[in-house]
Amino acid sequence: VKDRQASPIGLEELSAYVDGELDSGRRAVVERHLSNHGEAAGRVSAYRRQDDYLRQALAPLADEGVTEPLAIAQQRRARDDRASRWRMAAAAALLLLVVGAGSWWYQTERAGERRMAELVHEAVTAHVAYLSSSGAVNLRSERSKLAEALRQVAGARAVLPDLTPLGYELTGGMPLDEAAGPAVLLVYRNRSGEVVTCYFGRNGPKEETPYAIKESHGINVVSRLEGGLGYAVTGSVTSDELMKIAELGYRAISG
Amino acid sequence: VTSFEERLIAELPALRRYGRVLCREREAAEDLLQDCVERALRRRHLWRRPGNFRAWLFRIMHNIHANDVRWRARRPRSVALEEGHTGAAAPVQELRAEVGQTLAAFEQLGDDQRQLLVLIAVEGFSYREAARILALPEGTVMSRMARARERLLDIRDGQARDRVRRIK
Repeated sequence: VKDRQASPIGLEELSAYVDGELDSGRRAVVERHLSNHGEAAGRVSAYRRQDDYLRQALAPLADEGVTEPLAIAQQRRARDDRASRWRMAAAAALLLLVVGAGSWWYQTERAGERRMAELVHEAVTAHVAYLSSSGAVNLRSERSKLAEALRQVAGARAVLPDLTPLGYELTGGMPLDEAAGPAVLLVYRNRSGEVVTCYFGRNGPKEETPYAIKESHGINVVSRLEGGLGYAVTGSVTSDELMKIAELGYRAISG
Repeated sequence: VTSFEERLIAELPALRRYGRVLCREREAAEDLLQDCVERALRRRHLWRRPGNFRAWLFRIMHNIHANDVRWRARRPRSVALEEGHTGAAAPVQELRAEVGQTLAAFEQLGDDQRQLLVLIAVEGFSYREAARILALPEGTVMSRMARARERLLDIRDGQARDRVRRIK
Protein backbone atom coordinates (compact mmCIF):
# COMPACT_ATOMS: atom_id res chain seq x y z
CA VAL A 1 0.00 0.00 0.00
CA LYS A 2 2.86 2.34 0.79
CA ASP A 3 4.15 2.51 -2.77
CA ARG A 4 0.72 3.64 -3.96
CA GLN A 5 0.92 6.70 -1.76
CA ALA A 6 4.44 7.60 -2.84
CA SER A 7 3.11 9.05 -6.09
CA PRO A 8 3.21 12.87 -6.14
CA ILE A 9 -0.25 12.93 -7.63
CA GLY A 10 -2.65 11.48 -5.09
CA LEU A 11 -5.04 8.63 -5.68
CA GLU A 12 -7.92 11.01 -5.13
CA GLU A 13 -6.80 13.01 -8.09
CA LEU A 14 -6.36 9.94 -10.26
CA SER A 15 -9.82 8.81 -9.35
CA ALA A 16 -11.29 12.25 -10.05
CA TYR A 17 -9.41 12.23 -13.36
CA VAL A 18 -11.13 8.96 -14.34
CA ASP A 19 -14.48 10.55 -13.49
CA GLY A 20 -13.76 13.63 -15.60
CA GLU A 21 -13.96 15.84 -12.53
CA LEU A 22 -10.70 17.81 -12.90
CA ASP A 23 -10.51 21.26 -14.38
CA SER A 24 -8.45 21.56 -17.54
CA GLY A 25 -5.34 22.79 -15.69
CA ARG A 26 -5.16 19.85 -13.31
CA ARG A 27 -6.15 17.47 -16.05
CA ALA A 28 -3.12 18.51 -18.10
CA VAL A 29 -0.86 18.07 -15.07
CA VAL A 30 -2.23 14.60 -14.43
CA GLU A 31 -1.89 13.60 -18.06
CA ARG A 32 1.73 14.72 -18.12
CA HIS A 33 2.32 12.75 -14.98
CA LEU A 34 0.69 9.64 -16.42
CA SER A 35 2.81 9.77 -19.55
CA ASN A 36 6.00 9.20 -17.56
CA HIS A 37 4.78 7.29 -14.51
CA GLY A 38 3.83 3.77 -15.51
CA GLU A 39 2.49 2.89 -12.11
CA ALA A 40 0.02 5.78 -12.04
CA ALA A 41 -1.03 5.05 -15.62
CA GLY A 42 -1.59 1.43 -14.67
CA ARG A 43 -3.72 2.50 -11.76
CA VAL A 44 -5.89 4.71 -13.98
CA SER A 45 -6.50 1.88 -16.40
CA ALA A 46 -7.22 -0.46 -13.49
CA TYR A 47 -9.86 2.00 -12.26
CA ARG A 48 -11.38 2.23 -15.72
CA ARG A 49 -11.42 -1.52 -16.19
CA GLN A 50 -12.97 -1.98 -12.80
CA ASP A 51 -15.68 0.61 -13.53
CA ASP A 52 -16.44 -1.21 -16.74
CA TYR A 53 -16.73 -4.59 -14.98
CA LEU A 54 -18.98 -2.99 -12.42
CA ARG A 55 -21.27 -1.61 -15.11
CA GLN A 56 -21.48 -5.02 -16.73
CA ALA A 57 -22.10 -6.73 -13.41
CA LEU A 58 -24.90 -4.38 -12.39
CA ALA A 59 -26.52 -3.90 -15.79
CA PRO A 60 -28.91 -6.85 -15.30
CA LEU A 61 -30.30 -5.28 -12.13
CA ALA A 62 -31.82 -2.49 -14.16
CA ASP A 63 -33.65 -4.85 -16.52
CA GLU A 64 -34.55 -7.47 -14.04
CA GLY A 65 -38.18 -6.83 -14.67
CA VAL A 66 -37.66 -8.00 -18.22
CA THR A 67 -35.30 -10.93 -18.07
CA GLU A 68 -34.82 -12.89 -14.92
CA PRO A 69 -32.86 -16.10 -14.57
CA LEU A 70 -34.21 -17.44 -11.27
CA ALA A 71 -35.19 -21.06 -11.37
CA ILE A 72 -37.44 -21.55 -8.38
CA ALA A 73 -41.02 -21.96 -9.50
CA GLN A 74 -42.60 -19.51 -7.14
CA GLN A 75 -40.13 -16.83 -8.05
CA ARG A 76 -40.67 -17.67 -11.68
CA ARG A 77 -44.37 -16.96 -11.31
CA ALA A 78 -43.66 -13.63 -9.70
CA ARG A 79 -41.19 -12.95 -12.45
CA ASP A 80 -43.63 -13.69 -15.26
CA ASP A 81 -46.05 -11.40 -13.57
CA ARG A 82 -43.48 -8.66 -13.41
CA ALA A 83 -42.30 -9.23 -16.96
CA SER A 84 -45.81 -8.84 -18.26
CA ARG A 85 -46.13 -5.62 -16.30
CA TRP A 86 -43.02 -4.36 -17.96
CA ARG A 87 -44.38 -5.19 -21.36
CA MET A 88 -47.53 -3.39 -20.37
CA ALA A 89 -45.52 -0.45 -19.15
CA ALA A 90 -43.71 -0.31 -22.46
CA ALA A 91 -46.99 -0.51 -24.34
CA ALA A 92 -48.50 2.18 -22.22
CA ALA A 93 -45.51 4.41 -22.69
CA LEU A 94 -46.26 4.11 -26.38
CA LEU A 95 -49.86 4.94 -25.69
CA LEU A 96 -48.73 8.05 -23.88
CA LEU A 97 -46.82 9.07 -26.94
CA VAL A 98 -49.86 8.46 -29.09
CA VAL A 99 -52.09 10.39 -26.74
CA GLY A 100 -49.51 13.03 -25.99
CA ALA A 101 -47.71 13.61 -29.25
CA GLY A 102 -50.81 14.75 -31.10
CA SER A 103 -51.50 17.04 -28.18
CA TRP A 104 -54.87 17.54 -29.75
CA TRP A 105 -56.23 18.81 -26.50
CA TYR A 106 -54.13 21.90 -26.82
CA GLN A 107 -55.70 22.67 -30.16
CA THR A 108 -59.28 21.77 -29.52
CA GLU A 109 -61.62 24.61 -28.71
CA ARG A 110 -63.81 22.57 -26.46
CA ALA A 111 -62.72 22.58 -22.85
CA GLY A 112 -64.47 19.25 -22.27
CA GLU A 113 -62.43 17.47 -24.91
CA ARG A 114 -59.29 19.05 -23.60
CA ARG A 115 -59.97 17.97 -20.05
CA MET A 116 -60.95 14.50 -21.26
CA ALA A 117 -57.63 14.01 -23.03
CA GLU A 118 -55.75 15.23 -19.98
CA LEU A 119 -57.76 12.88 -17.82
CA VAL A 120 -56.91 9.88 -20.01
CA HIS A 121 -53.28 10.90 -19.94
CA GLU A 122 -53.24 11.19 -16.14
CA ALA A 123 -55.10 7.94 -15.65
CA VAL A 124 -52.88 5.90 -17.95
CA THR A 125 -49.63 7.29 -16.57
CA ALA A 126 -50.77 6.65 -13.01
CA HIS A 127 -51.80 3.13 -14.00
CA VAL A 128 -48.45 2.43 -15.61
CA ALA A 129 -46.32 4.12 -13.00
CA TYR A 130 -48.07 2.23 -10.24
CA LEU A 131 -47.84 -1.18 -11.85
CA SER A 132 -44.35 -0.93 -13.22
CA SER A 133 -43.02 0.30 -9.91
CA SER A 134 -44.28 -2.67 -8.00
CA GLY A 135 -43.28 -6.31 -7.92
CA ALA A 136 -46.52 -7.20 -6.23
CA VAL A 137 -49.38 -4.80 -5.87
CA ASN A 138 -49.71 -4.21 -2.15
CA LEU A 139 -52.29 -2.28 -0.29
CA ARG A 140 -49.71 0.18 0.84
CA SER A 141 -51.93 3.04 1.74
CA GLU A 142 -54.58 1.81 4.09
CA ARG A 143 -58.17 1.73 3.00
CA SER A 144 -59.21 4.57 5.26
CA LYS A 145 -56.58 6.85 3.76
CA LEU A 146 -57.71 5.98 0.24
CA ALA A 147 -61.35 6.51 1.21
CA GLU A 148 -60.52 9.93 2.63
CA ALA A 149 -58.59 10.87 -0.52
CA LEU A 150 -61.51 9.72 -2.65
CA ARG A 151 -63.96 11.86 -0.64
CA GLN A 152 -61.75 14.87 -1.20
CA VAL A 153 -61.87 14.34 -4.94
CA ALA A 154 -65.34 12.93 -5.50
CA GLY A 155 -67.38 14.40 -2.66
CA ALA A 156 -68.35 13.54 0.88
CA ARG A 157 -70.73 10.76 -0.08
CA ALA A 158 -68.23 8.80 -2.17
CA VAL A 159 -67.15 5.38 -0.94
CA LEU A 160 -64.47 3.04 -2.27
CA PRO A 161 -66.06 1.19 -5.19
CA ASP A 162 -66.81 -2.45 -4.48
CA LEU A 163 -66.07 -4.43 -7.62
CA THR A 164 -66.35 -7.90 -6.08
CA PRO A 165 -69.55 -8.66 -8.04
CA LEU A 166 -67.30 -8.59 -11.12
CA GLY A 167 -64.54 -10.54 -9.41
CA TYR A 168 -62.17 -7.66 -8.64
CA GLU A 169 -60.72 -6.91 -5.20
CA LEU A 170 -59.23 -3.61 -4.14
CA THR A 171 -55.53 -4.30 -3.70
CA GLY A 172 -53.92 -0.88 -3.55
CA GLY A 173 -53.93 2.69 -4.64
CA MET A 174 -52.53 6.09 -3.97
CA PRO A 175 -53.55 9.72 -3.68
CA LEU A 176 -51.98 11.94 -6.33
CA ASP A 177 -51.33 15.59 -6.95
CA GLU A 178 -52.27 16.50 -10.48
CA ALA A 179 -52.09 19.88 -12.16
CA ALA A 180 -55.90 19.98 -12.04
CA GLY A 181 -55.93 19.25 -8.29
CA PRO A 182 -55.95 16.21 -6.03
CA ALA A 183 -56.68 12.85 -7.62
CA VAL A 184 -56.75 9.25 -6.47
CA LEU A 185 -55.86 5.97 -8.14
CA LEU A 186 -57.49 2.75 -6.95
CA VAL A 187 -56.02 -0.58 -8.03
CA TYR A 188 -58.18 -3.68 -8.41
CA ARG A 189 -57.17 -7.19 -9.23
CA ASN A 190 -59.08 -10.35 -10.12
CA ARG A 191 -58.16 -13.94 -9.42
CA SER A 192 -56.28 -14.43 -12.64
CA GLY A 193 -54.09 -11.44 -11.84
CA GLU A 194 -55.71 -9.01 -14.25
CA VAL A 195 -55.29 -5.46 -12.98
CA VAL A 196 -57.63 -2.56 -13.60
CA THR A 197 -57.31 0.88 -12.07
CA CYS A 198 -59.98 3.47 -11.34
CA TYR A 199 -58.79 7.03 -11.50
CA PHE A 200 -60.69 9.98 -10.03
CA GLY A 201 -59.55 13.50 -10.81
CA ARG A 202 -60.89 17.02 -10.69
CA ASN A 203 -62.84 18.53 -13.52
CA GLY A 204 -64.12 22.01 -14.28
CA PRO A 205 -67.76 22.26 -13.16
CA LYS A 206 -69.23 22.74 -16.63
CA GLU A 207 -67.53 20.11 -18.76
CA GLU A 208 -69.60 17.00 -19.31
CA THR A 209 -69.06 14.10 -21.64
CA PRO A 210 -70.58 10.64 -21.93
CA TYR A 211 -68.37 7.58 -21.54
CA ALA A 212 -65.64 7.43 -24.15
CA ILE A 213 -63.38 4.47 -24.92
CA LYS A 214 -59.79 4.78 -26.03
CA GLU A 215 -57.78 1.74 -27.00
CA SER A 216 -54.12 1.46 -27.84
CA HIS A 217 -51.43 -1.22 -27.60
CA GLY A 218 -53.62 -3.56 -25.62
CA ILE A 219 -54.69 -1.06 -23.00
CA ASN A 220 -58.24 0.23 -22.81
CA VAL A 221 -59.40 3.37 -21.06
CA VAL A 222 -63.01 4.24 -20.37
CA SER A 223 -63.49 7.80 -19.21
CA ARG A 224 -66.16 10.40 -18.56
CA LEU A 225 -66.56 13.87 -17.14
CA GLU A 226 -69.48 14.79 -15.00
CA GLY A 227 -70.00 17.67 -12.63
CA GLY A 228 -66.75 18.42 -10.86
CA LEU A 229 -65.38 14.96 -11.45
CA GLY A 230 -63.20 13.25 -14.03
CA TYR A 231 -63.35 9.45 -13.96
CA ALA A 232 -61.29 6.93 -15.92
CA VAL A 233 -60.95 3.15 -15.73
CA THR A 234 -57.85 1.60 -17.27
CA GLY A 235 -56.92 -2.01 -17.93
CA SER A 236 -55.91 -4.65 -20.43
CA VAL A 237 -59.35 -6.26 -20.47
CA THR A 238 -61.99 -6.00 -23.21
CA SER A 239 -63.76 -2.69 -23.53
CA ASP A 240 -67.09 -4.42 -22.68
CA GLU A 241 -65.74 -5.70 -19.39
CA LEU A 242 -64.09 -2.39 -18.69
CA MET A 243 -67.38 -0.58 -19.31
CA LYS A 244 -69.16 -2.84 -16.82
CA ILE A 245 -66.46 -2.12 -14.27
CA ALA A 246 -66.67 1.60 -14.94
CA GLU A 247 -70.45 1.65 -14.46
CA LEU A 248 -70.32 -0.36 -11.26
CA GLY A 249 -67.50 1.80 -9.94
CA TYR A 250 -69.34 4.98 -10.76
CA ARG A 251 -72.29 4.00 -8.57
CA ALA A 252 -70.03 4.13 -5.51
CA ILE A 253 -69.31 7.80 -6.03
CA SER A 254 -72.64 9.01 -7.34
CA GLY A 255 -74.08 8.01 -3.94
CA VAL B 1 -41.91 17.91 -24.89
CA THR B 2 -41.58 14.87 -22.66
CA SER B 3 -43.98 14.76 -19.77
CA PHE B 4 -43.05 14.22 -16.17
CA GLU B 5 -44.53 10.73 -16.22
CA GLU B 6 -42.75 9.64 -19.36
CA ARG B 7 -39.44 10.76 -17.92
CA LEU B 8 -40.24 8.98 -14.68
CA ILE B 9 -41.00 5.76 -16.53
CA ALA B 10 -37.76 6.06 -18.46
CA GLU B 11 -35.81 6.24 -15.19
CA LEU B 12 -37.47 3.22 -13.58
CA PRO B 13 -34.80 0.69 -14.62
CA ALA B 14 -31.97 2.80 -13.18
CA LEU B 15 -33.97 3.50 -10.03
CA ARG B 16 -34.72 -0.19 -9.66
CA ARG B 17 -30.99 -0.91 -9.83
CA TYR B 18 -30.12 1.75 -7.28
CA GLY B 19 -32.85 0.40 -5.03
CA ARG B 20 -31.30 -3.04 -5.28
CA VAL B 21 -27.91 -1.65 -4.31
CA LEU B 22 -29.42 0.23 -1.38
CA CYS B 23 -31.53 -2.65 -0.07
CA ARG B 24 -29.48 -5.62 -1.23
CA GLU B 25 -32.61 -7.71 -1.60
CA ARG B 26 -35.36 -7.89 -4.11
CA GLU B 27 -38.50 -7.53 -2.05
CA ALA B 28 -37.32 -4.56 -0.06
CA ALA B 29 -36.01 -2.99 -3.25
CA GLU B 30 -39.36 -3.32 -5.01
CA ASP B 31 -41.09 -1.71 -2.03
CA LEU B 32 -38.55 1.08 -2.04
CA LEU B 33 -39.04 1.64 -5.76
CA GLN B 34 -42.78 1.84 -5.31
CA ASP B 35 -42.46 4.28 -2.42
CA CYS B 36 -40.10 6.38 -4.49
CA VAL B 37 -42.47 6.53 -7.46
CA GLU B 38 -45.37 7.40 -5.20
CA ARG B 39 -43.47 10.19 -3.55
CA ALA B 40 -42.18 11.54 -6.86
CA LEU B 41 -45.71 11.60 -8.28
CA ARG B 42 -47.03 13.35 -5.21
CA ARG B 43 -44.25 15.91 -5.25
CA ARG B 44 -44.09 16.52 -8.92
CA HIS B 45 -45.12 20.14 -8.41
CA LEU B 46 -41.94 20.61 -6.38
CA TRP B 47 -39.72 19.65 -9.26
CA ARG B 48 -38.41 22.70 -11.05
CA ARG B 49 -38.13 22.33 -14.79
CA PRO B 50 -34.50 23.26 -15.39
CA GLY B 51 -33.46 21.09 -12.45
CA ASN B 52 -31.75 17.75 -12.84
CA PHE B 53 -34.61 15.28 -12.97
CA ARG B 54 -32.54 12.12 -12.52
CA ALA B 55 -30.67 13.48 -9.52
CA TRP B 56 -33.98 14.62 -8.02
CA LEU B 57 -35.43 11.10 -8.33
CA PHE B 58 -32.34 9.42 -6.94
CA ARG B 59 -32.30 11.80 -4.01
CA ILE B 60 -35.93 10.95 -3.23
CA MET B 61 -35.10 7.26 -3.26
CA HIS B 62 -31.99 7.75 -1.19
CA ASN B 63 -33.85 9.77 1.43
CA ILE B 64 -36.69 7.26 1.76
CA HIS B 65 -34.14 4.52 2.23
CA ALA B 66 -32.10 6.54 4.74
CA ASN B 67 -35.24 7.17 6.79
CA ASP B 68 -36.24 3.53 6.62
CA VAL B 69 -32.82 2.51 7.85
CA ARG B 70 -32.99 5.01 10.65
CA TRP B 71 -36.39 3.91 11.89
CA ARG B 72 -36.48 0.22 11.20
CA ALA B 73 -34.18 -2.33 12.69
CA ARG B 74 -31.95 -3.38 9.86
CA ARG B 75 -32.24 -6.76 8.33
CA PRO B 76 -29.19 -8.95 8.61
CA ARG B 77 -26.50 -7.90 6.20
CA SER B 78 -25.32 -11.36 5.27
CA VAL B 79 -26.59 -11.53 1.75
CA ALA B 80 -24.75 -14.40 0.20
CA LEU B 81 -23.96 -13.78 -3.42
CA GLU B 82 -25.59 -17.04 -4.41
CA GLU B 83 -28.88 -16.18 -2.76
CA GLY B 84 -29.01 -12.45 -3.04
CA HIS B 85 -27.68 -11.77 -6.45
CA THR B 86 -27.80 -14.69 -8.79
CA GLY B 87 -31.41 -13.89 -9.42
CA ALA B 88 -30.56 -10.37 -10.28
CA ALA B 89 -27.18 -10.02 -11.85
CA ALA B 90 -27.42 -13.03 -14.13
CA PRO B 91 -25.92 -16.32 -13.02
CA VAL B 92 -22.44 -15.43 -11.89
CA GLN B 93 -20.83 -18.24 -13.85
CA GLU B 94 -22.24 -16.77 -17.03
CA LEU B 95 -20.53 -13.46 -16.45
CA ARG B 96 -16.97 -13.09 -17.53
CA ALA B 97 -14.72 -14.14 -14.68
CA GLU B 98 -13.47 -10.61 -14.03
CA VAL B 99 -16.99 -9.25 -13.97
CA GLY B 100 -18.13 -11.92 -11.54
CA GLN B 101 -15.13 -11.26 -9.31
CA THR B 102 -15.80 -7.55 -9.36
CA LEU B 103 -19.40 -8.16 -8.37
CA ALA B 104 -18.32 -10.43 -5.52
CA ALA B 105 -15.85 -7.80 -4.33
CA PHE B 106 -18.48 -5.07 -4.65
CA GLU B 107 -20.78 -7.06 -2.39
CA GLN B 108 -18.17 -6.91 0.36
CA LEU B 109 -18.00 -3.13 0.38
CA GLY B 110 -19.84 -1.02 2.92
CA ASP B 111 -23.07 0.70 1.97
CA ASP B 112 -21.49 4.15 1.56
CA GLN B 113 -18.92 2.91 -0.90
CA ARG B 114 -21.37 0.81 -2.90
CA GLN B 115 -23.75 3.75 -3.23
CA LEU B 116 -21.00 6.06 -4.44
CA LEU B 117 -19.66 3.59 -6.98
CA VAL B 118 -23.09 3.00 -8.45
CA LEU B 119 -24.02 6.67 -8.62
CA ILE B 120 -20.76 7.79 -10.18
CA ALA B 121 -19.24 4.85 -12.04
CA VAL B 122 -22.47 3.16 -13.17
CA GLU B 123 -25.07 5.94 -13.37
CA GLY B 124 -22.60 8.59 -14.46
CA PHE B 125 -23.59 11.28 -11.97
CA SER B 126 -21.09 14.08 -11.41
CA TYR B 127 -19.50 14.56 -7.98
CA ARG B 128 -21.75 17.55 -7.47
CA GLU B 129 -24.89 15.58 -8.27
CA ALA B 130 -23.80 12.65 -6.13
CA ALA B 131 -23.09 15.06 -3.29
CA ARG B 132 -26.63 16.38 -3.52
CA ILE B 133 -28.17 12.93 -3.67
CA LEU B 134 -26.18 11.72 -0.68
CA ALA B 135 -26.27 15.03 1.24
CA LEU B 136 -22.47 15.10 1.50
CA PRO B 137 -19.89 17.79 0.76
CA GLU B 138 -18.36 17.44 -2.71
CA GLY B 139 -14.88 16.99 -1.25
CA THR B 140 -16.10 14.04 0.78
CA VAL B 141 -17.55 12.47 -2.35
CA MET B 142 -14.20 12.80 -4.09
CA SER B 143 -12.14 11.27 -1.29
CA ARG B 144 -14.63 8.50 -0.58
CA MET B 145 -14.84 7.62 -4.25
CA ALA B 146 -11.07 7.18 -4.39
CA ARG B 147 -11.15 5.03 -1.27
CA ALA B 148 -13.99 2.92 -2.67
CA ARG B 149 -12.04 2.23 -5.86
CA GLU B 150 -8.93 1.30 -3.89
CA ARG B 151 -10.88 -0.94 -1.56
CA LEU B 152 -12.43 -2.72 -4.52
CA LEU B 153 -8.98 -3.29 -6.04
CA ASP B 154 -7.67 -4.56 -2.69
CA ILE B 155 -10.48 -7.07 -2.33
CA ARG B 156 -9.89 -8.32 -5.85
CA ASP B 157 -6.15 -8.61 -5.16
CA GLY B 158 -7.09 -10.73 -2.16
CA GLN B 159 -9.34 -12.90 -4.30
CA ALA B 160 -6.51 -13.40 -6.78
CA ARG B 161 -4.11 -14.41 -4.00
CA ASP B 162 -6.66 -16.90 -2.69
CA ARG B 163 -7.01 -18.44 -6.12
CA VAL B 164 -3.26 -18.77 -6.48
CA ARG B 165 -3.11 -20.43 -3.08
CA ARG B 166 -5.78 -22.92 -4.07
CA ILE B 167 -3.97 -23.80 -7.28
CA LYS B 168 -0.73 -24.43 -5.39
